[in-house]
Amino acid sequence: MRIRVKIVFLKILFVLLLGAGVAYHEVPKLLQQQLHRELIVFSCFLLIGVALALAMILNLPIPNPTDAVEYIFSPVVRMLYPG
Amino acid sequence: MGIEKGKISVWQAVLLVSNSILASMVLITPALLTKEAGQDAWLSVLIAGVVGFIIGVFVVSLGLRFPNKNLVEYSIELLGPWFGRGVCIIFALFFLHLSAYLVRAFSVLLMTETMPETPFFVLNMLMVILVAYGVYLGLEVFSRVNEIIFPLFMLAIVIIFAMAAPEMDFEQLKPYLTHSFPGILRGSLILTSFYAEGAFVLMLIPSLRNPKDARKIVLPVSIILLFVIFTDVVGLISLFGAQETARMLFPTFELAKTVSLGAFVERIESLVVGLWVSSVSLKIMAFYYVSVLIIAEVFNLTDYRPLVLPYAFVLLVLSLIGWEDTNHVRFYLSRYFPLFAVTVMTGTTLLLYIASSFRRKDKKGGATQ
Repeated sequence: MRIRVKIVFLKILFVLLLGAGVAYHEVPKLLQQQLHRELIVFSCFLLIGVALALAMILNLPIPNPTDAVEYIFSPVVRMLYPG
Repeated sequence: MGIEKGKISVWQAVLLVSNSILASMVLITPALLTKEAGQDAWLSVLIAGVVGFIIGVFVVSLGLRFPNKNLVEYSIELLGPWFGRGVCIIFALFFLHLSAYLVRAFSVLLMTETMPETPFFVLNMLMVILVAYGVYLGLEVFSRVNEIIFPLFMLAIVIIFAMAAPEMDFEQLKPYLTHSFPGILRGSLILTSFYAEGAFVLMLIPSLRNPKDARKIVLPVSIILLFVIFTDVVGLISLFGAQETARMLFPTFELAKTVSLGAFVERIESLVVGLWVSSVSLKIMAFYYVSVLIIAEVFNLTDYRPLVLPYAFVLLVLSLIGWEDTNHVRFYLSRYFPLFAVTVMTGTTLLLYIASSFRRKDKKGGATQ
């Protein structure tokens, strides 16, 4: 039990470090060039990405686009492929 | 002018589009086709080739109405700032989902065929890092790499088919046309969805050295695709028989396994896997690039590069949670993906095409007054 908790903790740390690394790579350049709109969009995407990765590690439910596609097209699929 | 400053030649565009359609098509679809259409699968290939050519002409003629603008710029011009951006975001999300699917299909191939002990998380992560790096370097770089890799991939395919040819038995293609016509059409729908993926060329047209040359892309691409997939399907059916092919996961790979020349040229499937991995990574790069570029244009940014790395997180998570197992990956491709791809790609381009023809009439009316 304790080992599993530690592994989850390490994974979270890994994702946060990766996110920080990406921010460290991009943000100074954007600040230097005064690109504020880019900075906002970049931060939003980074937050979404890190949040998704953390949710995946913690086994939280993530909305799955594949399920949505399958739900939308299932009537047509049932019609096209009888049996 | 758009964000992308790099320029590519017509030949590079032809190879990039062919690679982006062919890379996964050649390895996965023969099994699905023979499942639907049995030994008549070659007929679905021909039907899909014709339909795909028509889709290609149609998509390129939409692009040629605005040769110096990319998809986002003219859909905002045609459909207004909100609705036009919505259509573009649908396009971008489709390609994001498709890239995630391809990353997953890549790890499924490596896991089932060559590296069964490696967790697919590791394979997906390596692929995403590679692809993000390629997109970060830009369109010019990966289309040049593709100029080298794609001919090698084709050469490998030709060599394995030539080596397997003596064992083929073309009697297996008989009896002709015994399968129901709906089955053949379902088979061609699967292939048509791959041709429909080629609509991403709408984002490449303004990056051509001379955008007017985009018309020259369609015919070579159609010929390359039709030739390769036709040889692939006919060769597989005549080597394994239709029922055996339908049961396989990656039939072309199984064909490479059977090749042995004398007693010393053996196990060349590793060569095929190596070239396939590079070719599918170029395919993912192209789609990832298009998706990121559309998002950057939608938010009116000056560069798409800041978005590449955050996007990689989303792509990795999506490729891990999107599909449950190998069976789901295959089932999704055979049932849901064809409808999804054909609907989204032809739907959006048709909408833009209709809107642009209305606008044209307005312009002509305005000019005569």
